[in-house]
Amino acid sequence: MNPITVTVAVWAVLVAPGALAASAVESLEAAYRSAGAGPFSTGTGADAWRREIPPRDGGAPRSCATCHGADPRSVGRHATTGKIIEPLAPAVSPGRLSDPEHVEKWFRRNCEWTWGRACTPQEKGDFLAYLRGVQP
Amino acid sequence: MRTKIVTGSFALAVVAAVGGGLVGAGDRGERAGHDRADVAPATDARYRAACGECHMAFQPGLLPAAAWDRVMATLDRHFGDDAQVPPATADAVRDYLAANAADRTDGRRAAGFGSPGAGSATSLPRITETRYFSGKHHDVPARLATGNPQVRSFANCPACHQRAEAGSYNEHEVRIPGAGPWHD
Repeated sequence: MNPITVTVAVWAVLVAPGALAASAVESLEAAYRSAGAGPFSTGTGADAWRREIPPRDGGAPRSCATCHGADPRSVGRHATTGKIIEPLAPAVSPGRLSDPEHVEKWFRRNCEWTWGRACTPQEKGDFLAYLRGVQP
Repeated sequence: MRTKIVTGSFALAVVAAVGGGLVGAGDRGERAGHDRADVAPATDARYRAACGECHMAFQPGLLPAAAWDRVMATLDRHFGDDAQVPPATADAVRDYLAANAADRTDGRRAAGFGSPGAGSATSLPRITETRYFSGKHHDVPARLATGNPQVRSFANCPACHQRAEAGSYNEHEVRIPGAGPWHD
């Protein structure tokens, strides 16, 4: 492997993810604002992260932390399958929040599973503000 | 931005390929004759992305084609979750699973998983309920698997099978979290 390839690879692994997360989150926030949401709050996002809602079928209450853990800097574990879930905070998990489509896919899936409904643009913006603001 | 992602992904792929090559070479040198996967690894990128985030992207060779078809036909009720994916993705995944299913391939363990009796006609087929799987795991106590907070489910293959993602389920590679190696 020549030195240029190595340099590009190292850049892609170490530098790009943070920049990608920032631009992806900004484009999502812009979309939420155009739907009437904002401003977004890291504190509201942090509270919502731990808010437990009992599922309709009567099982144990669920929150984001059920699978992702109370601290977005730690690995989580899927409630059903036990699969390890890498931390969601881009500060410790390069590549997280870097693909807007992927972020929306999981808001769609997980808001429904966790709270039994879709999240509002305001709630999604608050979550992203919280996760993006978490320091290593 | 799309360009950046593609460039980054490509570079990552290069790193992964080179790294994987080095590891693979060492592995072959040290453990000659033991590097063949039990089940062909799940290599399809679309399948891995669509199905490998909530659970391991189970190798297609772990269920027969008819069972995969039933799984793909009921993604809106997928083991208690709504796992629907866009139609184009579903088509690609269905084709991949069918073409590489246990009864369409000749992996070392594929014959066991491909035999009839995987699941029933009324419920979703489960790899963990195939006769082959049960035969291999019936003497594993629940406290080490479903009752083990670091495992939780028999479907969490890589929790104990160190090389499950590579399609290798050799008993000597088993390390049960909190309990160590497994001896039958």
